Amino acid sequence: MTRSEFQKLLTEKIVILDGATGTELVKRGMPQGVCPELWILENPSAMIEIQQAYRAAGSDIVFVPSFGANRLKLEEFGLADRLAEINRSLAGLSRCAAGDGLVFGDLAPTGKFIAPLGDIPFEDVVNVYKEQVAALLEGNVDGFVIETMMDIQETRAALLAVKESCELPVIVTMTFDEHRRTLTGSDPVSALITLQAMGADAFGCNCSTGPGDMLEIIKQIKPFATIPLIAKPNAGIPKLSAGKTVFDMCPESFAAYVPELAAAGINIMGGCCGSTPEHIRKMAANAACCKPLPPVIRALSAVSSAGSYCLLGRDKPFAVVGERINPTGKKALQAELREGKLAMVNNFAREQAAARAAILDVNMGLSGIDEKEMMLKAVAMLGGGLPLCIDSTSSEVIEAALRIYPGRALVNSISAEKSRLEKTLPAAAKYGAMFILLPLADEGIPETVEGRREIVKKVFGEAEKYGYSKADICVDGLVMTVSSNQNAAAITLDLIEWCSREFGVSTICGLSNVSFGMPRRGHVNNTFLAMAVGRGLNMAIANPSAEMLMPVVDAGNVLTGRDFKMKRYVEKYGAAEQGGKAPVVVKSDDHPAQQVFNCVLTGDEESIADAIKRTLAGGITAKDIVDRNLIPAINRVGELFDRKEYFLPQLIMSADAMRKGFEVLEPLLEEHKSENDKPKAVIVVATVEGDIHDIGKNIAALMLRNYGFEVIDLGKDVSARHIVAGAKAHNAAIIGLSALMTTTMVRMPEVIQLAKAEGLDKVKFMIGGAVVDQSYADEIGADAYAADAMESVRIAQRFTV
Amino acid sequence: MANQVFYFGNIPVVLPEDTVYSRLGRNRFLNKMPEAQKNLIGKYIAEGIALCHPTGCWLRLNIVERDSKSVKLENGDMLTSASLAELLASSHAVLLTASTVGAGIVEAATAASNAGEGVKALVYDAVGSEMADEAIGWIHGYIGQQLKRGSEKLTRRRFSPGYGDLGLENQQIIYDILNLEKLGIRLNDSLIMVPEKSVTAISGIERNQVV
Repeated sequence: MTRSEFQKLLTEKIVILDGATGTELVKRGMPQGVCPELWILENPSAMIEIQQAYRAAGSDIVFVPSFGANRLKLEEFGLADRLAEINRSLAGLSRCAAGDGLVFGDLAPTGKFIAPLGDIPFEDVVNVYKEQVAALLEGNVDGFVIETMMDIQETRAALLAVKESCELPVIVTMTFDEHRRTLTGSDPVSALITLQAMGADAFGCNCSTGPGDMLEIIKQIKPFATIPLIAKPNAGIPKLSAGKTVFDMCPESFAAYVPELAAAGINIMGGCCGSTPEHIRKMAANAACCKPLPPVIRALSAVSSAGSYCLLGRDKPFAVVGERINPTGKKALQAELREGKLAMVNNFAREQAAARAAILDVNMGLSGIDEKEMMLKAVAMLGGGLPLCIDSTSSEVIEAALRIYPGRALVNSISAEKSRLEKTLPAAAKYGAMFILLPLADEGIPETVEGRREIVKKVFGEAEKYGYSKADICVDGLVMTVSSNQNAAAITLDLIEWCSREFGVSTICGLSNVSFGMPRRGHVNNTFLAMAVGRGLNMAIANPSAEMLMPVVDAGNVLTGRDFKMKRYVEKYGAAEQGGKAPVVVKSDDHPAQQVFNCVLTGDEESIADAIKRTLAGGITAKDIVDRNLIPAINRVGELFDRKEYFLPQLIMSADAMRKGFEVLEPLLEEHKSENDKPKAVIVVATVEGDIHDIGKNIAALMLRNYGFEVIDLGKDVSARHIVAGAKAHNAAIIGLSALMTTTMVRMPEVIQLAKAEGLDKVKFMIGGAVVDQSYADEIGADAYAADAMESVRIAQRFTV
Repeated sequence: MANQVFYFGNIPVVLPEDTVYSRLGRNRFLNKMPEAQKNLIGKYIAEGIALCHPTGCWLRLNIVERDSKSVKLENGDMLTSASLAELLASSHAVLLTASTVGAGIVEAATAASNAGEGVKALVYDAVGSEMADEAIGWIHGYIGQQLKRGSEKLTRRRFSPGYGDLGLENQQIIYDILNLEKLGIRLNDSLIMVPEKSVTAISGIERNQVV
């Protein structure tokens, strides 16, 4: 069957697949723990009976029972050397059972994970599937199904294996959990975008859920689908009953979802775990009354990664392609890349995502490094985040990156240069990537708008031959610097307007080029951006953290109608405005002394120094500020903590604010210090020997310091001898000991016993940590147990009164 | 599922902020937080997540002998614990798992702590713990799905050395079986895993009859 014949069939009727195989085989005596594929070949009548029953029930397509017949799965049973024979024979069996029905070779997970999640290279998995595909082709299958996939990268490997082996139709289903994610984190829309761009003939979901949940997934993806959709649900949600898993949805209830599934846009349906020929019979009967709903769009302007996607287009919100992952002009990044490291790349990705970039441009072009190797490392690292724009002048680098990129990328860029048209364009097409069309040719950049338009038309004409549509490209306005040619901006703006309004494609530009060599470049960039948005620009390669860039983008979306009902703008900026009007704890019209109190209460470190200075200027003494504002405020924080209205981070923030306040007041308090004032009590703290956990001890130390104690922190994994010596040297009033493990808490009494033996009779011991409690403190002779940092402060205050 | 240790190099953990807040002790019904504090903690959570590199591994081993206080595995190792033996009463095999988020988050938390940035240290610490837990949870989710195909399932609970009567000395057994050095984990003299944001677990594998 050809792909076009398959597509024609899908316009005529809702195609019915088979139902569950595994549960039917168990019913027919397949024992647990065997290789199902081998058992089927040893008991062919069971499989023939099942598939004939599905055909009789109305299945148009049956799947060859080759689910686990890839090399990696067969190896588990010592059967890898029989791979070709097993797949060929299974296909033959299904062919025999299916009669004049269609037989699709079944590819399923290998059970291994592709690097970087697992340790198997992507290309090895492609080859594993190719080997299986070749054997199934020998068995004369009509097409392929890639099913129950949990990882987009493995799904891509299987799809590539089929596409590189034959021209037969291939359909793909993935399995999504209750959060509508695959095991490795892909959502249905991202997966659809990736796989339909790569040439899957239909996409959908199977297993994990019943028809009701699957209906919701189908509704979610239908608006983005350019290909037919598939649903192969379980017969309900599995339930445990008397120690057995039961699928309790009867055939009637199962089939009752068919009209809704059809209305949601399902073109192919069948059953997964727990379904029987009777489920399929009822399903087929109901489907016969429904008309197949074709895809609602022919092309989709969108890019994706393993776990996210971005819709592009002139009616969609403006997309900023983050430009930071590019070594040009970045010495620190260059040095890191030369060492083969990617920590800065990771940081740039995180920062740009936080600054609301929609896509990340990745460029590893740097002399002295292996660009391809570093690009592959970067793509592997970033493939699960925002969609990527693969940026290189080398077609080899672009093709290698596209092969392993677990999504639909944007290629930067393809021009009318011979090498780009002959090498980069077919590579981009093979992997279904969108691309940036650069209006330049081997002869250079045309100086006129007309010249650039001709190149746009030429390159697009070539791209159409590979199946590209206008939704799949965006034209680079090719911004030249205005400092060398003041007419440059006008040419770019004219081209943007023509592309956007007449030719009908998205437009993009490398924004900062326009201001090269000029002072205050941000002014020029942002003004140019606003002008270009007005002419139709809907994407820009820029630094999303640049001052005022995102506000211009947000406002532009409002003014061009891309922000429907201004929802995003109001959400972003309305709340901030309301925040200014709403009552806040630290108000400028409060008395400064009240502001000091509130600063501690809200943990406002930044404002407290100023509030204290203004309070002092108002004639209130430092001692009064401490006694009437700081101490009452921190006591109030303690109360809120005790009532669980505050939690530990807030307690620390308040304590930090208080410390800041003291830093301002301390010199003034020193001036008025009397001889009767007591010196600060010293507390020695440590995590006991053998224990490396110190966060609890550190937080207690921080709180104690903020409450005016002098804390000597001896660190973690500290011996009893060292702790006792430290207490002696600093004349400690209290020793605080921390331990988190049962194996290390036993070191606590050692410290206490040694201290007593060394004559530290007046020192108090306070212990804390997850495994100790008051009774343990009593048992080892400690004076107190502190459940948390706040309690350690209170105990210390009590001990040092 | 063969008897070899499988390693994951980059587990796709999705960490809900709520789990971090819960670990930090926030009572979501009682707690009120100004926007600025919320933003700061949210920022630290995002930074913490970026500092974590979740990796992990798993191994399946058959149970060859058992009594009420211990379970003997096919490789000859014995796990001694009455609670574990009870958990594994219906299991014919065990799943040993481990995860770690690497040293980066611990180092960053320590640096923050040393710099007096207590909130940052605390949040990083909580993120590290939760990420390690989520990573091992992810491995269990994956294995659970795989087992389903073979009509098997995991026990609902899992045990870790140090829980109940499963002594911490079992950490050494799991460490050796899973060859956790390959994940960059070492055991100190007190049998604590370093980096500290590392987790090991033992679960049972049971038959699961499907109707």
